[in-house]
Order: sequence, then structure tokens, then C-alpha cells
Amino acid sequence: MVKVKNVWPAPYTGIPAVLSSSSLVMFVLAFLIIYYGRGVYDTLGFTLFFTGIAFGLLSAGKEVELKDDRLVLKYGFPQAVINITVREVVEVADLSSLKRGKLFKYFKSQLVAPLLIMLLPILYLPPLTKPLMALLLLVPVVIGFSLLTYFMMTFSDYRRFLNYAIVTLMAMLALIFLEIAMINPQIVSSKDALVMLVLGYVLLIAGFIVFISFAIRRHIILIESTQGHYAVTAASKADAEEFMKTLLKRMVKIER
Amino acid sequence: MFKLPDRMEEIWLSIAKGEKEVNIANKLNITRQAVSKAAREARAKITSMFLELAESLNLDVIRVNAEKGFMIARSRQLGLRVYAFYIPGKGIRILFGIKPYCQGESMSQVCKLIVTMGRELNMIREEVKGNVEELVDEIIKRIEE
Repeated sequence: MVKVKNVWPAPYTGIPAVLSSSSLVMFVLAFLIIYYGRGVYDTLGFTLFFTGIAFGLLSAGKEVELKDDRLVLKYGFPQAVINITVREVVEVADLSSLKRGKLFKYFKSQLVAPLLIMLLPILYLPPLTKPLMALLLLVPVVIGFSLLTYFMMTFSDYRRFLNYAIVTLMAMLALIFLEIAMINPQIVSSKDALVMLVLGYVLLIAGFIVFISFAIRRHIILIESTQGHYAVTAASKADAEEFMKTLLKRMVKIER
Repeated sequence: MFKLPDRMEEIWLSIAKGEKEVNIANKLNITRQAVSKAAREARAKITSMFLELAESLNLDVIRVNAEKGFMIARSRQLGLRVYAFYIPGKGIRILFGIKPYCQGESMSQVCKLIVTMGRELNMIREEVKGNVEELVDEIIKRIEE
């Protein structure tokens, strides 16, 4: 038995896919119900929120193991749910390194959750009493859109998109922080408040940059067997190459 | 070393064309299990050929498809894309990712073989017409998806 380092199962197939998609939809529903439900359906909102957390944890990829003729993908479940017979594998591909590789081609069902969370605020149509309430309705739409771009775009385009997104975000946040400072003159007059505002901006941008650099470094590896498509995530290009070679060598060894 | 045995290749090619194992078994007068076993062995052999090639040319493997018989890799020294195809009856042929792909007599021959295989294995859309260079480009676009 070989535990593969720095490679984790991605929840794009089977039960983990259903759970992770449901978890996403539940979070958005919970947010809408708790924030816009005026306290009437709070119990339902919190139930959805905690069920969403449980589903998210259950569908999170834990580890990948090579056990004789089996590639075992372990998720948050107490037991492994995906067992791939190595001799039935017909293709292994590093989708992130392909010129036109996109997840949508292999995992079409993954579009359901992002589309649904983009539609939910429109279908729900909560009563909007403050401008902030209307603004916050955009949050699920933005999350849904980001996920859609991730699944629909080729990886090279997605990297370019993220680079543009971070520049746009930096400019937008700078404008927002400037507006906050202008609306509240006491911020400009107080040195401490000004430092806090600038520090807040820098931290937010640093957080986004760290997130994006992780997103760019990760590699998605597609495994196609006669039974279906599966995906694993590698921490880096080198880890992806190492895993692919190990799996391909195992395919050859088993048939000998 | 770089070619499948004839019978195994026949079975592999039929599966790559999309034929069902039962039909192949009936056609060759063997059991479905024998077809399945031969297909598995063929995939393993093709994978082994691609791995050996990657080791000897110092390539990073990006994609190996043992069913359709192709590999995409990157040369560590040159930083170039390398495309390897298993051509039935001939063995492995290599194409470097520099356009034009089919310049020169030997590369032109390789391109023709790749196009013939691409047509047989439905790697070129029917509506796509053009010269060998364009058809090779179409195959490369398809396998890069």
C-alpha cells in the first residue's frame, strides 16, 4: 500500500460530488434565510448551515492510496467511497497543463450547484429594506460566477482571468476604502484609524493574493477508467508529475 | 519492442474505434473475457512504451491515453511540447510542437500516418477539411482539450 503525498481526491464524481454541491447550495440558502428571513425561519436556516458544514466535511478529499490493483480515493467519510481498478484506467492527464483543458468537458454535473446559487437570490426575492441588503444579494451571484469560470474556462485562461481579477479587486477595494475615509472625516484626522484602514486594505489584498497563488499552483489530474471519470488535486506541478508516473507505472506493472 | 503483437493490436484498434467487446469477440471467434484481457494488456504495453520514451527523451508526461494511443509530454531540456502517437502496424511516431509540424520529407510521412490514424479513431471531426498540416493541427487541438 502506497500513500500518495500532496495529492488529494477532488469531489467531482459520485457521492462526494452530490454532497459538495448540496453543501454549497445549503450555505447559500442558509445565508438567504437567516439574513433576509427577519428571524422567522432561523431554525431552518441554522439547520441548513450546519448540514452544509457536515456535507462539506464529508465530501472533502482526505488522501489517495495505491493498494495493489486499486487506487483508493478517501474522502471525509469513515470509509473510502471511490475504488478505481488500476487495470481499467485508460487515461491519465494533467488537465492544468493541457493547452485547452477544462473541467467542464469531464464533469458537467458540477455546473448545477454554481448555476443554482446564482439563481437562488432571484427565485427567493427577499424584501429589501436597506441598500446593503441588495448589495449582499450579489455575494451568491459572485461565488456562483467564480465557480462557473473555474469549470468553464481553460486552465491557461483561468490563470489569466485570476491575474486580471486581482488587479480589478485591488482598484475596487482602494476606491471603497477611500470612500469610507471620505465619508468618515474622523478617520483621516486620526492617525491610528488611518493606519488601521490601510492595514485592513493590505491584509485583504494579501489574503486574496495568497488564495490565488494557491489556486494557480494546484494541478487537477484527470483519471479516466472504463467505469468513469475521476479527479485528484496535486499541490504542485512536480507532485502532479510524480503521481502520474507512479500511477502509470502501476498500470504497467499489474499487467506484467 | 515498440509495437504490439498483431492480434492484440487488432483488438486494441477495434476498441479504439468504438466497437463493443462482444462484437469483437464474435468477429474473432474468441470469448469476451479474452478480448477484455487483450485490451488491458494492449493498454499496459502502450503505456509502457510511452513511459520508456518519456524516460529516454527526458520528458515530463502531461497526458497518456492508452485507449486512443497518444501521449502529450514536455521536453525538460527544450521546453517544447512533444506529441507521441501509437500508429497501428508501425509503432510510435513523434511530433514536436513547432509549427509547421509537417515540414520535410520524413515529418510529412509522419503527419500522413497520424492523420490516417486520427481519421480511423474519430479524432478529426467530419466537417474538418484541409491539407495534412491543418488536419494534424486539428488532432493536436482535440487531444489538448
